[in-house]
Amino acid sequence: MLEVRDLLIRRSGKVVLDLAQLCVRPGQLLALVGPNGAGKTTLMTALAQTPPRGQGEITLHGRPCSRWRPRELARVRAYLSQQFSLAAALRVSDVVALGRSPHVTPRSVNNAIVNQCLELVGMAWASDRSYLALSGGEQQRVHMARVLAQTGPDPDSWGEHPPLLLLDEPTSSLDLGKRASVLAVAKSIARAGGMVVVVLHDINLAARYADEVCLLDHGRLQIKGPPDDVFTSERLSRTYQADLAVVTDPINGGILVIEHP
Amino acid sequence: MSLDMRSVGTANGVVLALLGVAVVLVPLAALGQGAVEIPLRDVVDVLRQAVGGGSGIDPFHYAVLTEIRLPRVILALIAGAILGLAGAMMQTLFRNPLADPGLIGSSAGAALAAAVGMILGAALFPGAAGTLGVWFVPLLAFAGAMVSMLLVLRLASHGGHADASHLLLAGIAVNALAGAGIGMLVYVATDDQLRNFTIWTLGSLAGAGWPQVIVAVCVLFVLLASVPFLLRPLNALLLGEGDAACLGFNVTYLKTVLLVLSAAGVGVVVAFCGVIGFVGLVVPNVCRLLVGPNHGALLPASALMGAALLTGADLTARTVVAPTELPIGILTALIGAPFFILLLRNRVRRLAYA
Repeated sequence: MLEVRDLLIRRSGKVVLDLAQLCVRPGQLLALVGPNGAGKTTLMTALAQTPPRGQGEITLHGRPCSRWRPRELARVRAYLSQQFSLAAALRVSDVVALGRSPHVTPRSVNNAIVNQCLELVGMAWASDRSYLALSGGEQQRVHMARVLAQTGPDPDSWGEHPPLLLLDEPTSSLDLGKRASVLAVAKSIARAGGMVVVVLHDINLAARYADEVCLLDHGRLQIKGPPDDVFTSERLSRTYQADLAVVTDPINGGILVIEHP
Repeated sequence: MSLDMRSVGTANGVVLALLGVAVVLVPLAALGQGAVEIPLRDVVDVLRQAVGGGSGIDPFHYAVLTEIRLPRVILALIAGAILGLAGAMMQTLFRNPLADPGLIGSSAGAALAAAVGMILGAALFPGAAGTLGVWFVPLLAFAGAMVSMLLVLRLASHGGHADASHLLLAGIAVNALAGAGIGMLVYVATDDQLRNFTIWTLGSLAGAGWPQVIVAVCVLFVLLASVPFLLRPLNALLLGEGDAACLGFNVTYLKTVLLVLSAAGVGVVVAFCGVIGFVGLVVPNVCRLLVGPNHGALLPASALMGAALLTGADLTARTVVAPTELPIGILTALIGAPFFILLLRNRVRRLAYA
């Protein structure tokens, strides 16, 4: 269980995030949505930092993050950042293997996990390639595999606590098919009992994959709830300052957000 | 650790083996060549005698080898290995392939401190200079390298990332500062000190003796012993400081360790061999092209190549204009500076961290 209380983050004197309370339960996939500059990434980095900066308390499995040992914390909490600064010609499997650094599992187990995670994101074919030879979307999926390898891809590889995955726009460089498959992997981690927090710009993806969504705006939580409740034409149009309509998906009966300028 | 060694595949194994052969053959050649030519048979005999075998060597050759050449060649091997390792560590620490002890001013900082020790040492700290003996100048040089690296790190990096232009500018500033300090020392130095000092500044292994070898071995040992523990954190650092921290590494601690280790390496090399530029720049970059950026292969390769290269350069410095010697720093600059220009021009994607 992840709990955030009274989180207040200032940047050059200005409040960029003010969050009274937020909670993610095991088994839940929570999507953070909101316009540019709403504080989504600020919240993600606060959740990913060791120890968290700013005011407030972030508690994971009943213990404040600042009181975890960094390596123990890294075994249950993994973070996929929005930008990657890796610019070395490491082998793809070595990049993913870095995710196993906090663990003391034997090499054969690590290798199997690395292969499994590359398989999950559809990058097993690139295992021996150089990271720099890949396209932006492929690199993003390699980092996704690294993050999956860090906390373990399935419950067998988890320790006593279910993992927390923090994914900041994991689909930003991906094509339509890859977006769906990466989010399906995230969803399966949640289904198995993990906790997933994911920043998404595409509201339709959030509506399809999230159990709950948080709509952030101006550093504040506007509303949290199931996608069907949160996403209304009126609320979305106001928040994004655009003409948006929520309609019924003619194929699966879910909701669909469309733009009608 | 095994995780990282995995990537030392067959191809890398071959490269490492070839470098290992070079580290044996180049010193054998270096021991035989010079003002006095000694046949390989005698060289081998002396080496065998050292381990309890061999006999019947020309006593003059024996003396030249054991008193002059052996310590010199061993110091060249050690200094080269240290420069290669320190260069590779600094490049990952600064996340920039242009980081080199000479370019970013740590050699100059070490040189200034070492010069203080050489020229003013006896006057300033008579007690310390006597007690510390052969350790005195290297310890000062270590402190000098440390201060200059902290300064550059502070000046050049924002958010843990030092971009190339800031790094080089900070290096220019530190180099200028240290240069001014050295200039002032030169002004107060005696003629004799001045000549020794000038030769030393350009880099030379002529001062090599067994006491220096012992100190340098100790520093190299510390560096090599830390390598196995640094492989994983160094590889993680390639992802960036934030991501390395998210993987559970204590990045501040790691950076401090890297800083202290490379400053110790630069300090001991500068104290005994003067300023030898570009080895720390060229060797890790060439090795990165040969074996890739994984530190499991990069660090051993850099140590081996640095050792072979510096020994070869010293051999050349001793023999091209025999019976006199070229300062080795001039030679390494002749090889290294064009390479540096190439790096700057291309900022080759494969090499660049920035």
